[in-house]
Amino acid sequence: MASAPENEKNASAPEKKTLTLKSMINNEEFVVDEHVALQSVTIKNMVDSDCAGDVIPVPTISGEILALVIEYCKNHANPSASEDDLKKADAGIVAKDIYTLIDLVLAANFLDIKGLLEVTSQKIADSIKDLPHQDVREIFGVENDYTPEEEAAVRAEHDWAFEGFP
Amino acid sequence: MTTRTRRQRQRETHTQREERESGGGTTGIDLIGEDLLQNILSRLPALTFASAACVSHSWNTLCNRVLCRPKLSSAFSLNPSPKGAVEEVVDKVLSEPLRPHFAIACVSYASSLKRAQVHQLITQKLGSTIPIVTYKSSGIIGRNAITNDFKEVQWHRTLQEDPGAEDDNLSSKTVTDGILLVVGFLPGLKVDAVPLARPIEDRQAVLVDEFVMDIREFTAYVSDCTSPAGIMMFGGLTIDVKPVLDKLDYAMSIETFIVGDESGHFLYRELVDSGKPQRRPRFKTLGVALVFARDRNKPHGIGEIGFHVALSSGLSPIGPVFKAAAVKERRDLNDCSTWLTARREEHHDILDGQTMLSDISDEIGDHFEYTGLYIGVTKRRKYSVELEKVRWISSLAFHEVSRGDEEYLFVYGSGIKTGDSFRFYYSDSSTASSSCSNVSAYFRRLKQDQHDGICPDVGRAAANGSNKEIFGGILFSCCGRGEPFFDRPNVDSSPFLENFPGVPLAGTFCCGEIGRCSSSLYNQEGQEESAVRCCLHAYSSVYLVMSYTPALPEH
Repeated sequence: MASAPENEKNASAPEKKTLTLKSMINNEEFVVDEHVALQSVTIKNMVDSDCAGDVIPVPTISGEILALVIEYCKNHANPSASEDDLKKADAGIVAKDIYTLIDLVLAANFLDIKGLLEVTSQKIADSIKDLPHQDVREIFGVENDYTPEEEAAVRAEHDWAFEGFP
Repeated sequence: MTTRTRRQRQRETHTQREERESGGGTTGIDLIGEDLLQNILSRLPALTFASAACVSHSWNTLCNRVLCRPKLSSAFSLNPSPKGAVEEVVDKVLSEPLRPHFAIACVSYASSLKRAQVHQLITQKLGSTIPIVTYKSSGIIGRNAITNDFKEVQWHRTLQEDPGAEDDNLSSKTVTDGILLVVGFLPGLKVDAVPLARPIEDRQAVLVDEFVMDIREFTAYVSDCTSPAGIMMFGGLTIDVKPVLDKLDYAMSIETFIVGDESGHFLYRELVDSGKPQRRPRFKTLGVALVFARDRNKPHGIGEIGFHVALSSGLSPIGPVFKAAAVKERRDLNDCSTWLTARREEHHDILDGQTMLSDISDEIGDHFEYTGLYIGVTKRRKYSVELEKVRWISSLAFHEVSRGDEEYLFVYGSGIKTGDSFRFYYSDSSTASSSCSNVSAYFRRLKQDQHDGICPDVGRAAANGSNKEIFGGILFSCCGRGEPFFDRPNVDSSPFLENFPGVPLAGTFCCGEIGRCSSSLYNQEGQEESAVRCCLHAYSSVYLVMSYTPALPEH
């Protein structure tokens, strides 16, 4: 199963197949080695079914986020990367503010990249874990649709967690 | 202050990005979608998870979807500081979504001050609205909160108990401090702690009938019947729990599991408003039972929790069957012993203690002095609770043999009568090993959802569905077992670990394992009638396995 070492990043390798991903939000384009891009099940399905043209349009994902996604895919396409290296690299990618993370998790979901979905979801969980639910509402833009009585009832169900907290 | 500015800054960048992206979309549940949000919620620790449920109706619905199955969570810490240890185990146990319904903490701390501190700390962390029992055990079984390694840990035995042990060797292995915490989420059940008490001024007047009635009252308050799904009993040091267990055995439906630890120096907290009478402070608590009752108002869509009890016995019968002849009881302050003579069945000669013991010692052979020796007495007694109809119940009770002289055989405990038949039993690791294999075989069948086996008369609840899953196990193992007994580690845990890998198992080493089982387990010859039950064991391991059968999908 040992494959020849790949000269990454160098566009000088002529026969290496590449794909161009284009963010439809801000029209940024990214040229990516095919095997890197194919970690996205969504893209793989498009390529497999010959739906992919020269440029693959990616709706709803900004260039900024797409760059992060591609960075993740590159790291994980590198066969010589150790598990530790990958862990560190993943941690770097998700070291972002909560709003970027939400965009990133949506991108991971749309492109169907399981590993990225995992690490981003975990990071979001970690980032909101010390916040009171009022802040969580604000971040996720969730409207509080509880009446005061209902909210009190739900709180009562979970009162073990709120003892000592107003 | 700083968090506020950070949040404001984040909001700004977010708004800016929204403008830049010109999509103008809103972030939130609509955009992120239920599946993604559920995935995130399932990664939250228990405390945040609780507050996430308060965000909105849809979040609460998703939270309920994440936590739709019962859960048992457990961890131990060997941190010598009670505070540090409590923090470690609580953090670990609450590191995932969980709503505590009950908690059990086992501690090693000899000082009652530390025990009280642990109890208080855990109560603070888990809230004052759930029943919690904290008790002292001889060791703990479970996963390390930090390393996640599975281990059976027996607390340091004092040198007096281990005269042959080499000091260096001993101290390197010595573990003296630690905590095991078990927290359960059991939707569809209600759990409460029911104390067993006596009036302060009267040492002998243990209120067993009241205890039974309290359990029934609590059960009737939440269920449609008076027998709960199960009882986990913890006895104190100053009480003989045998008569209590016999009465529970009489009073409770055969479906009710009864397990626990005979003596454990416990502390507990119970629910304040759960339909049972509150008696105190004129009473002294001698024991406590965690009562698991089926909730008649079980929420929609919640399946059935089932309980399965298995026993690995470590005692082998030896010698003939005797009948007790002359019987005398001696009561000290806390202890009670019985002096007796006996006859062989169908013989007339009265045998003294020395004669009986030397025959047994000949049969056991060389290692006689290293074994635990008991007599297993079959007692047929009348029972009733308050004014209810009297019924005859047969049970097998073990009494540890103390010594024998040219007149009597001396055994611990009371309640033996002239004419009771008994046999000698000795502790034996090969019996224990082979009965562990039987338990393992039983678990294998349990896995395949079949229900005959080790203890066919207990825990037959909820065996209908085919997608039953095992979600937890609790183990009460004799302090005489463990690695020194088997010469191998983790023998008692192995039946569970082998069959249910990844499922939480928590246990303790105790002095007197409670487990309501058929006594036929003790008779390899197998001719004994199985209606005789045995509730209190020695050199045994009692396994309580919890299963869940999801509700049939609604249409």
